[in-house]
Amino acid sequence: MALVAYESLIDPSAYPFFAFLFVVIGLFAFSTFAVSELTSTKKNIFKGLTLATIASATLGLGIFFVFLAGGIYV
Amino acid sequence: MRIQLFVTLLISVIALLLCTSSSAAASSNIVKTNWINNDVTRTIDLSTQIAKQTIQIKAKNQGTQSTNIYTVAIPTFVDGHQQIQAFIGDSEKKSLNILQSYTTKSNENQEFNLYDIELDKSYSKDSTLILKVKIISMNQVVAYPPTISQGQNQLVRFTDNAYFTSPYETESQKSTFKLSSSKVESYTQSVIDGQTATQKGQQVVYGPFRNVAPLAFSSVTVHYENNQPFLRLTNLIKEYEVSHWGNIAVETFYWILHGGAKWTGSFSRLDFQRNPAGSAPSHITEITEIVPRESADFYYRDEIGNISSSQYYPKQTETAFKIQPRFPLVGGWKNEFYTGYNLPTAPFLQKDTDTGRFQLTVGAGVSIENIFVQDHTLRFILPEGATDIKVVRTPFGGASKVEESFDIRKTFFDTVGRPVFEIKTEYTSFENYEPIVISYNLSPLAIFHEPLLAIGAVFCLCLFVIVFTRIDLSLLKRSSNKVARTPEVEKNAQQFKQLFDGRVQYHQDMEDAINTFARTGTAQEFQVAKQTLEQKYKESLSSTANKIVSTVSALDPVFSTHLKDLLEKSTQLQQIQSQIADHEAKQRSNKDQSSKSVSRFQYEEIRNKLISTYRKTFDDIITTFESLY
Repeated sequence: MALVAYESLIDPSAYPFFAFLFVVIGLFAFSTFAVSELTSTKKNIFKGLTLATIASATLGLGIFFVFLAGGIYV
Repeated sequence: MRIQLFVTLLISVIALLLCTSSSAAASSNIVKTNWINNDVTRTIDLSTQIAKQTIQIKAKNQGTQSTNIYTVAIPTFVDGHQQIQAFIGDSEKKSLNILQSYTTKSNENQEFNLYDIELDKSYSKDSTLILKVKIISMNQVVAYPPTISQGQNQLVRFTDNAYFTSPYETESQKSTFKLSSSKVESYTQSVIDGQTATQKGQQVVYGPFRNVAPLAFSSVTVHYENNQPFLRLTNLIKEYEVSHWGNIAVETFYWILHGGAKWTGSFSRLDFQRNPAGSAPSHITEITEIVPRESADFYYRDEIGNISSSQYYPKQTETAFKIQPRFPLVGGWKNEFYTGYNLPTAPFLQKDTDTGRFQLTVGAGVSIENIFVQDHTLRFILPEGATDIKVVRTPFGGASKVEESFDIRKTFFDTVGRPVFEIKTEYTSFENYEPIVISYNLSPLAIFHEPLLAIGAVFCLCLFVIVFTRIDLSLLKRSSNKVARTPEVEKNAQQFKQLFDGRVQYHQDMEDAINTFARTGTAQEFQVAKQTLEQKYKESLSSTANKIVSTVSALDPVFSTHLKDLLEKSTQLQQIQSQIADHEAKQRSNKDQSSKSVSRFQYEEIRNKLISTYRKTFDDIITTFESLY
């Protein structure tokens, strides 16, 4: 039986940085997606889905890290 | 005495022979002879509310067989709740297991609780055992008189056996009662075994006694001054919320009570403020809890909200967390509040590299000196997906009642809820707050559950936007005029479309020309531009379109009315545009002649009206036109 101390994947002191980074990128990606979806007359479902994937991945991580940085350890 | 012992032995041997298959409880009715206590030094520390007995035992195995069990007894008449710890030699590193407890009666019909201690090894015949037994007794030091008023000292009473209670014979023993002060009201002074008790300062000594019979018993009481705060927790809930993202959140709920002599009469805040120690000697104004060195983000709150009077002092190996309740506590007063802090996972959460199981090692109670807890609850809120939760090591000895239960709690980013493992026990003291160790299984991928949930939520929002922008939610059907047309009508319709496109273009160009005129141009230039445009769109503006409409009216009357409507509107638009241009020209000429007939305000008003009519008509045309094609 070998016990090793468990460290989290990312050092908790880096959470505010990741929160800021992903929220900025996420909001940018999400607004790009929203603008393209709401204003363009010719709608392309693949373009929409690609933008949605990028936006959700970045903004989702952003929200998650905001929680961690704010002390709500999920 | 010897004869009595002999008789007892004889009876016990007979009893053993008679009921060989009897239970442990029944066979324990007998005095044990396999050990003999050579020398016992018993010290009872009574300086606080907890009676701490430390018993140094030197015993010899005088039985015929080797044994690894040594039994101690506690008379049932004594008040309070006891916790027993036992150690080999003088070190207090590894406590021995307390196997079981059972009740038995001595010859004098006195009841005893017996506790079997599992020794570190088997002790052969004639070998010597050096044992240290600690008995922590809660609620045994009782305030007497039970009520005091402001300015009075707290007096307490302690009653116990003058002898070290043992099921074995003891050759030599001595009991020392260490008090909190030398102010002793009274102590039992009757002659016990030819000895009377002696008081030396803060100590009352009973013994030494020679050749004490098994389960010998003589009740003694000391009554003395003890102004220690009797701080106890009637209820304690300690929660550990483990996050594999690197944090263990600790939250502790306290229901504290000053269990000393009850306060009677009024409480003068003035007197108390002037001289706290003299006015209420056993008051509590501050509680210091020792927490791990790594603790951070402290908070201290109660039902009303945050309490600002708390400080923490990091020390070499620990952190002192000082909390000051909202009001001082005197005897019988209660208070409740909760505190919390965060711990990193690193030293407390460990992973077993062989089995992949996680092991959590944390404190089982609150490290407040001389405190004890009546109802003690520990909760472990583990990450979602944790299974097979087990207690590896518990500081609550084998003799205490421990209940385990499972629950589910839903908090942030949860779907099915987090498993909550609860341990309930009673009467624990700070003396036995060794760490508790629990272990559980958790998939290494489980930590991605929460970020994926957040990503999924945003993705759902995106999908909603995608779907929402693609479906038509308007109540009016936009293409209601678009009905199937016969080929002949369609041919005419296309011709009309070509012509009408030109008209639309003409209106737009005219608009530009008027705008240019309004800004910089002259009336002459505008006239030139107008004529050029009329020339350019001559075909569109001619009556060809009207002819097409009359052709269509014979074939498709409904469609033709729409087309007619379009042409009418276009003519209207032409009129409005020329009105705007005229209005503009008029304003120009007025300006040139410096006439004040039309004010600037009136001019603007008329112009805006015309433009808005123009906009409306133009939009109308476009909508109708688009709906037809």
